[in-house]
Amino acid sequence: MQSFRTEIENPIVEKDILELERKIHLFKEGEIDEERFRSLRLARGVYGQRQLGVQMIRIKLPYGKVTSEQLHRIADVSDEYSRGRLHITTRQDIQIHYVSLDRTPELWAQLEKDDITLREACGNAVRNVTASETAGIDVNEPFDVSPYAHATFEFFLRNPVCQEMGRKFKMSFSGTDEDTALSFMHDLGFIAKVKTINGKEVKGFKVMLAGGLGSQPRHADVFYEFLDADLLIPTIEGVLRVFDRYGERSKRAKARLKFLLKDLGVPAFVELVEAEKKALAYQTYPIDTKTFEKAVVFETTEIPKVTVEDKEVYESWKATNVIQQKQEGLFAIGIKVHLGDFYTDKAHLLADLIKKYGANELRFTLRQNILIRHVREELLPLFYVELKKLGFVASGYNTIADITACPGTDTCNLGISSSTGIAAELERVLKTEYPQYVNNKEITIKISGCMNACGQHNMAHIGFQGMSIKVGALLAPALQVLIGGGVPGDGQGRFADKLVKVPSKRGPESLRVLLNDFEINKEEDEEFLRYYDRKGKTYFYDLLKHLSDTTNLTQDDFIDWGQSENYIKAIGVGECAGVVIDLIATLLFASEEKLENATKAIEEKQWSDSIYHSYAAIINTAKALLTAEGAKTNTQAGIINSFDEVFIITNKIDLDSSFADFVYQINTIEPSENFAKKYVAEAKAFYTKVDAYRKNVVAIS
Amino acid sequence: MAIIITDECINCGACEPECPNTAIYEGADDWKYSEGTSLTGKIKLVNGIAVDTEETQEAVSDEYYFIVPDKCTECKGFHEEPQCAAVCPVDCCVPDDNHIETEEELLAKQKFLHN
Repeated sequence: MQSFRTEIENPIVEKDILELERKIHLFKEGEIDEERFRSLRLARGVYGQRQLGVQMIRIKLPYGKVTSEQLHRIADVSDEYSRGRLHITTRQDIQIHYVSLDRTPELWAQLEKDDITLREACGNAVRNVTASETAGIDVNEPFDVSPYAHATFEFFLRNPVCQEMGRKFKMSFSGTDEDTALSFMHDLGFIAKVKTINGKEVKGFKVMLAGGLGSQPRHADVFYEFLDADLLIPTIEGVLRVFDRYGERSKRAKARLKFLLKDLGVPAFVELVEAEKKALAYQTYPIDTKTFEKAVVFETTEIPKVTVEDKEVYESWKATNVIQQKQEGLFAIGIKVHLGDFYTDKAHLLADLIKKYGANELRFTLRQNILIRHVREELLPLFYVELKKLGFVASGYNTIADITACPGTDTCNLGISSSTGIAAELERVLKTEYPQYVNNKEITIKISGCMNACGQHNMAHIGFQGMSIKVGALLAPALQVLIGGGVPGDGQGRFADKLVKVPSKRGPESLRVLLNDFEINKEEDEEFLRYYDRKGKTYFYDLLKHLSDTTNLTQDDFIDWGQSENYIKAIGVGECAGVVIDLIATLLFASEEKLENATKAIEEKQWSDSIYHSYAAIINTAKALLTAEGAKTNTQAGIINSFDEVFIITNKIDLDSSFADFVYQINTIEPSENFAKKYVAEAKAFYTKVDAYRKNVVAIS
Repeated sequence: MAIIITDECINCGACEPECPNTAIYEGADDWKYSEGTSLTGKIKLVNGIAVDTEETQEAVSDEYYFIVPDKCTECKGFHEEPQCAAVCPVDCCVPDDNHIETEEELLAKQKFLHN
C-alpha cells in the first residue's frame, strides 16, 4: 500500500500526501475528532457523497486546462479507484465518485505524477481558479488571461493566508467583456482590460468584488474599473487577509465574503484592505507570461485523408461547434458533453487525438463541455470523423439544448429533487418538439438540485431548482421555475426571478408554456430577456400559476424523473465548511501546530508566511480562552476586541500593551527577518501565558 | 394566521431575504421590532403589549430559521401569497395554528408595521 511513497518527487507534495494518509489512520483509530478530520480531508479534495462509506474526489484543474498526458492520468485514476466516469463541473474541475477513503493518498500520488493536485479543491480555501475557455484563442480578447489565472492558482496554493478561512473563496478570469467566466458572481472576478498610461499600453483588469449565487444571490460590486496586472496578486492577498480576519465563522450560512460586504459596504472594506498593505508579501508582483506565449507546435505535419459522409450534418456541426481562433488558420472545437459526464474509454481516445493532431491541450468549460484548441483548418474533417466515432459531434455546443445541471440527488448529499433527470427530459422535449431552438445560443437553461445553485439556475434565462412539495401527508418532488437571469457582460449580471413551484413532472410543461408564449407574442427578432422585461414578472407568474395546483396530482407526480419508486426526501448537511471546533484542548493543540509552522517558515526564510502563522497562533490561542469563558468568537476581529475586554482591561492576563496592539503589529510592521523572529517569540510567550492561566483556572475550579 | 417554520427546516436561508417585514431570522439570531419596519421607540403593539422597538429580543428558535409572529403579515399588503412559503425548498413555512388572524387583522398589522 505504501508503494507511492518513494515515487513523489516534490517534497512539499509528498508531505501533504503522507499527512493525509497519517490523518486517515488516526481518524480510523479514533485518535482525531471527526470534524477536524473532515476539514482536513476537504482541503485535500476528498468530499462526502450521498452514498455512505465512499468519497467524491474533486480534481482541481486551474481554468480547466489539461494535456493529453494529464487526461490519460485522470482517466487511469478513475478506472483504478472510481468507476470509469468523469464529471466536468461548472467550475472546470473533474469529479470522480465512489472512491474508498483509504485509497485517496495513493490516488493523489498518482495524479501528482502529471502535476495534478487535489489540494484546496474543497473546504474553506481558495477554490479552483476559473477562466473563459477561449482564453488565449479569443479573437476579441485584449490579452490571454491564462497566465494570470495560473499565477493566482500557484501563489495562493498552500499560502498560510488562506488555509483556514471562514468559508470558501472563488475567483474567475474573463478574457473579454462578454464575461464568460461570470465575474459578477465570484468573490473576486477579473475581466481583461488594457489602458494606455503615459503612451504605454498597460495590461490590467476590471475587478468585481463579493458576488455569489446560492440561496441568497448577491451581485458583485465594482472594486476597480482598472487594476494594473502587477497589482493583481497583492490585491488578492489583501482581500484574503481581510476576509480571514473579519469574515464570519460561527454562522456558516453568513460566512461568505458577500455577507461581509453587505455589512461593511465597499468604502469601509477598501479601507480595511488598504490597512493590510504593509503586511503583504509583495507590493507589486509582475507575472511572467512567456511560457504561455510560445508558438503552437504540432507533433506531425501529416494530414490524413478522410471522407466525410454526411456533408450537411458536418456543415451544421461546423456552424455550431467550431470556433475560429485569433491565431490564423487555427480553430477550436466544442464538444457538447451531456451534463458533463463522460467515460474513460473515450477520454483515452480523445487524449490520443489531441496529442497527435492537436497541440496537446484541451479545456473543460464552465458549461460542462470540452473545448479542443489549436486545430488546423485542414484537419477539421479528420477531427469530425474521429470525434464522431466517440459520439462527440452532437451539434449545439453552448446552445439552449446544452442544459447545465449539477449532479443533484444522484450523488449529492444536499440534493432535494432530481436535476439530471429533468435535464435529460427537457433536452428531449427541445429536440423533438422545438427543433427550431436547437441551435439557439441566446437562451440558457440551467438546473440545480437545491438552493445552493451549483447548477447556476438563478442566473439562467430559464432556471429550475429542486424542491419538495407537501400534499396532505404525502410528499412530491418539485421544481421552482425561475426566469430572467443572464449575463449582459462587462461585470453586469442578472439574477433570475423566482416565479412558481411546480411538481417536477410538470417541469417540461412549464418549459412548453414559456416557449409557446414567447413564440406567439414576441416581436420580430425580440430577445428572450427583452421580452421578459417588457411583459414583467407577474405576467409570467400568471402564465405558469395553474401548473402549481396540487389538488389534481396523479400517482406519477410522486415519482421523480429517472426514478421508478416514490419520492423520498433525504437531505444531509453540506460539507463545504469545516465545522467549528470549540473544544479548548483541541484549539490549544492547533495553536501549537501553528507555532511549529511559524518556526519552520523562518528556517525556510519565508518571513511573511511565518508572520501569518504566528498571527494565526495568537488568534487561535485567544479564541481558546474566550471559548472557555463562553464569549462569542464569530470573527478574528471580534476575538481581538473581546480578548481585550475580557482579559486585558480586567487584568486577568498581563500584556505589555493592549491585545489589539500586540496582534496588529502584523499590519504596522513590514515583513522582515527581525520582525518574523520577534513575532513568533512573542506568540510563543503569549501561548505559555494563556496555557498557565488556563491550568490555574482549571486547578481552582 | 402568521406563518411558522417547522423543524423540517434545512437552514438554507432562502426565505430570509423574501420577507417584506423582516420577520424572518436565522436560528439563534437576536432580533428587534424596529428592523425592517417603521416602528421606533417605545410603543404598544396591536395586542396591547408594550415593547421597546430598539431593544434586542431573544431568538424564537436556536436551531432553525424562525418567524416573529408579531412581525408576520403573511405578506398581506405586499404579495398575493406568503413569499417564504413560496420559496421554501422543503415546504416547511406553514400557517401557525397558534396565531390565527383574519385578513383584516393582518392588513391592520401591516399598516401598523409600516405606517
